[in-house]
Amino acid sequence: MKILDYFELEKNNTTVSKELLAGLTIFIAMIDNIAINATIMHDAGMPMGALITATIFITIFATLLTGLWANTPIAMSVGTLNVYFTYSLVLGMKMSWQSALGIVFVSSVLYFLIAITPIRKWIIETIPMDIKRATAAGIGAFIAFIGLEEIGVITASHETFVKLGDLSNTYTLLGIFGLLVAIILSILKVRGALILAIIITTILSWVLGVTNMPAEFISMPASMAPISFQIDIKSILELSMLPLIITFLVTDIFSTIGNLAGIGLKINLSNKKLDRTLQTDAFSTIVSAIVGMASITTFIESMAGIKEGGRTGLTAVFTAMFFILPLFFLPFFESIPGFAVYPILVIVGSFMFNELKNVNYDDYATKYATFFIVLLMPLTYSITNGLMIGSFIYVLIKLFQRDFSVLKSAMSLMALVAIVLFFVL
Amino acid sequence: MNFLKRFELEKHNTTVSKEFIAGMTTFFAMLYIIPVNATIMHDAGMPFGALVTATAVMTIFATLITGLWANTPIAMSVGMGINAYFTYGLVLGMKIPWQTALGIIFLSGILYVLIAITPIRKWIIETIPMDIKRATSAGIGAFIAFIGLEEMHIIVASHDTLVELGNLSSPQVLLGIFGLFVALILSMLKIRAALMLSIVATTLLAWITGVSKISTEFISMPASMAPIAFKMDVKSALEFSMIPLIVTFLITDIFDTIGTLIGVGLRAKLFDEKDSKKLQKTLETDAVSTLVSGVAGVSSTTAFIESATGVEEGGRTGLTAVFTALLFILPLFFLPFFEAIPGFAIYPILVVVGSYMFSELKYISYEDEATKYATFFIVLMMPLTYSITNGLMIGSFVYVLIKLFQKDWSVLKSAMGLMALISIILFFVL
Repeated sequence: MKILDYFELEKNNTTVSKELLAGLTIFIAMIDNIAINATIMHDAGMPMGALITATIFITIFATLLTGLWANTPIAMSVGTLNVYFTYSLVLGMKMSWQSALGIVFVSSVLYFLIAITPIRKWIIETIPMDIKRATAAGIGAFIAFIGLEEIGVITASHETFVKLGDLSNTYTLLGIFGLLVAIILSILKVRGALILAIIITTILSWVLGVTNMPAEFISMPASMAPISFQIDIKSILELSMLPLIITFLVTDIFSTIGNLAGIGLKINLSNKKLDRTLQTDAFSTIVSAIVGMASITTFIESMAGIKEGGRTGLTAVFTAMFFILPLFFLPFFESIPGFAVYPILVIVGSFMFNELKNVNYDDYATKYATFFIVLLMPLTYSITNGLMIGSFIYVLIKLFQRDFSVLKSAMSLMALVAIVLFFVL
Repeated sequence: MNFLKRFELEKHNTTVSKEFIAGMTTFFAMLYIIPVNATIMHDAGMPFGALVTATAVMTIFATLITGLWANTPIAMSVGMGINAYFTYGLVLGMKIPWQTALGIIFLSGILYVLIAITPIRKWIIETIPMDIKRATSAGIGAFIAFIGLEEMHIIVASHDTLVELGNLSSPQVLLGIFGLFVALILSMLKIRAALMLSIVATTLLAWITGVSKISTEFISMPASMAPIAFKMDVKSALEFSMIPLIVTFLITDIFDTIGTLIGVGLRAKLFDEKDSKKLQKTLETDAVSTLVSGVAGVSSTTAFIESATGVEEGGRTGLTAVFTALLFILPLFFLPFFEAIPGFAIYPILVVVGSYMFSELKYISYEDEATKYATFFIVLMMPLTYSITNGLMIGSFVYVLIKLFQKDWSVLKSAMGLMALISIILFFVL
């Protein structure tokens, strides 16, 4: 088949069925994002139905493009900048959501310009290998934290910010069950371990009556018209908007670069593939603003598919195809309980955390930077913050060691961005 | 000097001045416990002044015994976390009078003494695999760095995401970051007393820039301990329904201390693999001190992970603990002066020491699946559940489960099996 040749399955040591399983795993791991994104952006005063349709549409669009154009097994959707969009811009600064979409648009045009010039190549190539490993481990700790929080193993505490949740709560018990099933199936090297854990936990929760089986299955997508093409660019072309635009730009670029650095350690990503993935990310964000959505970013849930053997763009194509289903069967997918899905993030997190084994702790700059990256990604709840602070410390120590070559690397750019972002803006 | 011989300084490759710097570093790192413990336990309706005095006295008592009897550089004081459980769980939550709650502490201390003088604790320490000890060290590192970053307000609470980055441009946070860099760079350049120097430099800078004020008063007299000492009510704690509470205190105290001893001991090579005498004596000190805590009117005494700061400065023997204990006499009389040392000057050293302990990860063998997953959970759960015991228990549970699936039954005979069992009881039954 001609279209399959394009993905170079054999060269990447994979098969159609492996890619299908991987695509399905990513789809299931990401399905929650539809409702989450719509709920968050709804708080900005945008209509719920249109948000759901637009979220699904842009996920299919961006993920399909990644699969076909970049040939990488990486899924994209509306990322966590939606929180900043809704709570800081619209609710906090009283900006209209139309203007906020304008900010997303302008930042992504800048992103696209960066993505088609040699800057991104320089960024990716001059980040030291050990920093990439630390980034993978930090992202691993971060997504495991999110997973444990969603299962209820970790909860908020007034005195200590975080604490152990009530593990005898039924939902949490089922989540822990799912987690242990996923761990055991993984170490027994069972194929489709993650999906199996989700299915087993979901069925168990239905059988026990903890969550209900869906009563309805079918729903028709609402129109996207109330939010599409509503973007207002004119009102945001002001100097005072520059910090906001840069915040979107920096967060989007570096969370994607962080994700790609982590993913690139697990699978072979050529420069061409990296370039095209970044270009897809930038271009999709432009389209995203036009259809009424916050910034698109690469989803680290893609690692769940990679763990199941996904290696090429075919995985992303399958994920995109699966995302057509919730357009029409949303009630069915919404009945898969969160505690069945989130254990996957913990497993994938531990998979990425193991990259620490290859870090060289004998170099002080690497040692400290690794520590801060791994600790601060979960504890500041942000990939970008962790990467920036780690880079800042790396550069500072290298300068004290009189290793001035660091100034020519992307580490110093990130250190500079960190100073601007944290202390100036 | 005859007195100094008991510490065997030469054998441990250390000197009096090294031990002094280490003792002082640990003292500064844990000075916060006096006002913080008093503030927390005050919420239980106990008088503040008496709590300040009792906390200082217990710290001196327990740390001095550790130094003289166990000859380890481990400082002890009223444990954080468990004091919150005492106040918010027992007294405010379950409406148990603080006198009865002290009785519970006392009884848990008695049980602890019984365990500490039997060979159980030796078996516990010896059958925990080396890689789990390393993971424990790394997890404690992540945990104390989290505490440090939180106290520096680099990490703050968030309504939506539990935690988030604080506002780094506030003067206090900036000075904390300054202190952190000074400590990182001085310790990288292997300058002696690097951590102390960073505290002094940051404090002076804060005073000069007017961010915090030099104290105008220096001297204060300690309040009497009488309102809380010898007030415990053991009789009402001797009820069947109190057993889960006593066991919770007992387990948290034992495993916080074992975790700390493993983590700190690994870095300093404190405990000889074959000779567990020092370890045993440290646990015995902890047990007796907890018992005395109940009598004196404060919550359980435990080994403090802040001892790691002194150990990183070269402290190797009980002389370090003796110095720490002696220095704790000062805040009894000069509390206003010590309270003028800003937190953002002290907390960066927890972050630096945390990074050193975290580096223990480099020795771990990630090839074994059980070790791999247990390490991940230990390192992640200690900071994220804000508890050494929780992290250790959950990690052990995962370790044992995987070992059983690998048909490695020998794990059942190790302390890992015991901890896995305890975790099931603690998390799901009680």
